[in-house]
Amino acid sequence: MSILTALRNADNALNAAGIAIRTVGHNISNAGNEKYSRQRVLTAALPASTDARFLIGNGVEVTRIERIVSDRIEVSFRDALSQFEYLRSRDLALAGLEGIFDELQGAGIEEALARFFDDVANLQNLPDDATSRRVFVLSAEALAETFRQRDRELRELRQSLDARVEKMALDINRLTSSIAQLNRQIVFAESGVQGQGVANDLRDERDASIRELAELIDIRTVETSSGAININSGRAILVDGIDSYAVEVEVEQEGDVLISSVRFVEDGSPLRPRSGALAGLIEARDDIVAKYREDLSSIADTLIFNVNRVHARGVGMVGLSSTTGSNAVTSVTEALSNAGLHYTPRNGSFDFKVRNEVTGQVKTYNIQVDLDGLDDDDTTLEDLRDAINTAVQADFPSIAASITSRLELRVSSGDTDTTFWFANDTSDVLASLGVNALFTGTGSVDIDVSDAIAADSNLVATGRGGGPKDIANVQALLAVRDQKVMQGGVATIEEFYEGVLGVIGVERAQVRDLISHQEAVKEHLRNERAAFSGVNVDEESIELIKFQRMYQGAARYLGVVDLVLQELLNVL
Amino acid sequence: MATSPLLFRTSTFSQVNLLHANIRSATSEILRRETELSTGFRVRQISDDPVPATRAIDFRRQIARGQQYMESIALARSELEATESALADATRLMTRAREIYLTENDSASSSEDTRAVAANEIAQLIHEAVEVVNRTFRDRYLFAGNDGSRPPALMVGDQVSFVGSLVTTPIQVAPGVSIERDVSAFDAFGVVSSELQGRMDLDPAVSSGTKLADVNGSTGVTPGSIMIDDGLGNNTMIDLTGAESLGDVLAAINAPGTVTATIDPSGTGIELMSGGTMITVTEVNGGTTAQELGILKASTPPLFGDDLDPRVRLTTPLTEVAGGAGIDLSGIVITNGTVSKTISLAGAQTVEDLLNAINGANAHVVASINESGNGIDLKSTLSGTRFTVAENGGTTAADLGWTVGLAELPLDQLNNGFGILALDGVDFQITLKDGGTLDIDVSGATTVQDVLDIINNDSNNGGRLTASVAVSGDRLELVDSSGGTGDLRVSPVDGSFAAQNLGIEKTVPDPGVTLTGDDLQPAGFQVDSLFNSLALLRDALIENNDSKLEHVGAMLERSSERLVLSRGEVGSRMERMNVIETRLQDHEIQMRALVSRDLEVDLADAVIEFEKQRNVLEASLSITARILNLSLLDFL
Repeated sequence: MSILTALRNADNALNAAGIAIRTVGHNISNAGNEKYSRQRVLTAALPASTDARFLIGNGVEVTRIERIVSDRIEVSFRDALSQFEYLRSRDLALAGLEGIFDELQGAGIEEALARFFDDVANLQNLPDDATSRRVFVLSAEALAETFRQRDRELRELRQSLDARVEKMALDINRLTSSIAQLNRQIVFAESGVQGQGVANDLRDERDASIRELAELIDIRTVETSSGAININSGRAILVDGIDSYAVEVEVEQEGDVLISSVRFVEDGSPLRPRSGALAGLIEARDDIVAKYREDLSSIADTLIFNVNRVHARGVGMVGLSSTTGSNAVTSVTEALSNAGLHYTPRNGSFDFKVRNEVTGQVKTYNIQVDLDGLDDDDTTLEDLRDAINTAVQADFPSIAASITSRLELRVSSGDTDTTFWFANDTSDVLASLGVNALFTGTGSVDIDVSDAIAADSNLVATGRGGGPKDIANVQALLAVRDQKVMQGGVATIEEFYEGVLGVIGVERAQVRDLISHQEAVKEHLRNERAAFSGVNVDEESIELIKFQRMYQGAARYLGVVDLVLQELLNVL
Repeated sequence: MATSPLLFRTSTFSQVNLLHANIRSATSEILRRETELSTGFRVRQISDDPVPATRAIDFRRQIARGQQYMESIALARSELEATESALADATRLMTRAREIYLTENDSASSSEDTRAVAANEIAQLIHEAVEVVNRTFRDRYLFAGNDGSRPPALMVGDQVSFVGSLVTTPIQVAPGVSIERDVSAFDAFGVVSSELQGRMDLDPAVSSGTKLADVNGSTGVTPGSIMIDDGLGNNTMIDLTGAESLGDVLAAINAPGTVTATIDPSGTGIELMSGGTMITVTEVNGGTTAQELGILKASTPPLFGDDLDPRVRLTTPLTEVAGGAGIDLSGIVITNGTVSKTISLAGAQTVEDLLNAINGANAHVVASINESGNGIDLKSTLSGTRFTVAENGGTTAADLGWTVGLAELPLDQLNNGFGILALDGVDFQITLKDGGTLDIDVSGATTVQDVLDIINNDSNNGGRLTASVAVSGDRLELVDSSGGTGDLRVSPVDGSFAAQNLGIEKTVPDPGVTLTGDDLQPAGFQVDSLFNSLALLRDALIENNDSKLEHVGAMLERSSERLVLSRGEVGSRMERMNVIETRLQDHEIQMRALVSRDLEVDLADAVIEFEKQRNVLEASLSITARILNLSLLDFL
């Protein structure tokens, strides 16, 4: 053996200890960095060389700096993140909904509905009292406004959820392109061109980006032999080696909201995540918020129709001198059941009553609404107009039914001594056309009190022609409160609304339970990951001492070899 | 934060993480308890506890609704109290009138002079009674029914006319419970006559415009389907669920083209025709539609349906009534006290036109469709006089059922309203031509027919004498068929005026067999009201007429009795309202307790829980501080 070989041995040992100490230093420095995976120096004895008869070891060399990660934990952690963020998105929407439907604090639809019906009840006490009538109109307006405001809030909630979709699409692009970039760097770094070994810190950075991506959408990863990671979500490929596929947002109008959908730039195919924040967001936007907005609108819808069909059949303190239907038809020559009316009228008839205000006498005309679909003679809006005119004008030439330019029915009296109203409508054609209606509109987005009644509360149809204290129609309005008109006749309007509130509450409570469970799963995996890959400073201290001793030993050995060499040189 | 023990190694990071989680969990729990303690509510959002929270919302709605009911009750009760006070005033007034009556009806204590003074007082009482009927509460007339905006009672000369409405509407005071808060002026004061009701069934013919709801005496037709076999092998189901009028039914039956449906020529029902030998109509799924349409039968064509008997509507054409024969439109003459109006119906097309013509004639009468919907009622609203309806040269009054034969008249309408003064016991004796005698006592009779029956059914009569209403004129007729040769004679017994008042106190010498009475001068109908009894009392006192005074007694009693009944009714309604109010209050207390249980926090629990969490946080903090301080680095 050459003594000089011994020097090389010491050199190797010092070198290896140096690398190990630097690695320990690197670990300790990153003890607080969650993205970081601890690294471990792997050493190996150098192959022995033959010296005369013996094989003598050549010391140590660093074979690899290993990154301690568990693929199993990493995959589970990513799935847990996806699921957690998915639930959080849903919870975000439900929390928004709960805020909008916050009935426990009052001042919501529930209270406005109750106030409206309570004021109807109050009208039966004082039907001819100007204040009671005004208060009733105000509470009808407040109810309409509450519906519209809740609807607006739901629309804004849906819109605000949608706005996050675009931001998420940008985040997905940022992350996929950064992962592709890291793939490129890792493949280059590990190809041996720059140096040997594994690009541990780049890989840590890439894992962090992948985790971030998993929070947005559900992903699957495959590592190639070159060290690149391919990523797909469902069947869609997001990252392929050093290439990434960008997504973009396409905005479409859906009713009165803008809906963004995510698709790939390259081929326009849609991205349909099943988990992650984006999936939760899209479901919250399209299923949860949209569904409750529909529920709210169906309440307003039912309320409008059922109140109007009663209101249209009554008369207030004064007869009508003019009324214009709030609902237009699409064609004046189509049968009214097929003329684009939101509320479809049926076969029946109504009474048209005209009062001579001078004598107080009333004359009644029965107007047929033929919608039996037989004989090809079903009533159109033109037929209805003509039927009223034919019946009434012989006796009262000042009364005229006409069709407005917007295709609504209008009836008016050209003389102040003649007023009119409607009664006994079995066809619901008046409510369908919005004639002498209390509410206008067809849902929570546009419900309002008719202009005529807002301007003159004397027109609130409290009676049926009996006199100022006649409350026959008020009683019918009051009965609407207890009519099972929702869900095909199983719930009253208020009961249905309470049901909706209950479902939101239960849904939110369920999601909260799921989130808290999912958070436990996520935190457990996070801890497991931290336990497995994280740095323990005490452990590193021990490692430090170990390599310090190795270094000290090697240095001392070098000194001894040096002394031996000195001795040898002294001989010369 | 539940964290499972780590089996192999921990990292510094996972240690820190765990400590973070512990502190986070403890602080969030503390915050929750803090909010509960500071607000007093356990449930602040529905999702905090969905089932009790939604239940509480429902309870709160019920509480608010109960409060609204209680408000309605309070208002209705104050109105009923005002009504009760008005009725009490009316009762006092009637008590005074009866005192006067009793004093003045006693010949020992009265004279023409005292009666003249008393008549003045009664005239004053009439004014007071009008004031009572026109009593207001919160600017509305208590006894004006639906029409609360104008005084319902008007003095018309010496008489009183009622111009208010008799329709009172119940208000809802609890779920499914309605109570009338006002009293109809008819119930309390009898302000309109109930006598002249439409007795004639107007029997409108059916037409294609006839509403299904109006047929079968207004019981209508249940929507459903029927099956028609035309006898040619076509058995067709006809869906009539959407049919509203008879025209819709005909159109639906005619649509398939197998059977032709029309209104039958007599105008009473449906006629079905087909080319087959037999038409058979059956029900579908146990329905009743065919039966209610009167066509549930099998018949060789044509099949005639039963009489559908539709009700009278405002819009029913006058040409359709009386089975399609229509009524005479010559009109009627209404005489009501000093008012006499000739009402022509020329130009009237519908029932409503007829009603408008009569009601608009200022004759103090009200014409309306009767409750059963088959005739027209005519009522007088003018108290203190009598009213009659006569033909205007045609048959209108008869067509409408407003002519009343002498036999039907109450006895007190005879002799210009003086009636019949009968005594207890036998009033008069009829001596027959064969010498037989009938002792007649009419004190139990109320109508002319009653008198005729008493005479004809007398046990001694044996068919020898027939009493009837004369063919012409308002008089009685007695025909002796005994075959005797004596005189036919009616003579009073014990000074009773009954025979004289009935116009038959006379003798028919032999060979005459027919005794024709004098004209009985019927006075027409009167309104049996408080005003009427006072006015009659006043008139009797002014005229110093004993016989009239005698009559008034019973009317005064009836008027007082009405008031007593009305006050009893008001009292019982107030009692019902009190009971309901108590129930609503109890309900509210229960509901409030439930809301509190569902939403509010149990303070003791919350405080204990708060303390527990505070201790947990303290422990976490102290452990964190200690663990983080411990490191091998200290020993390097």
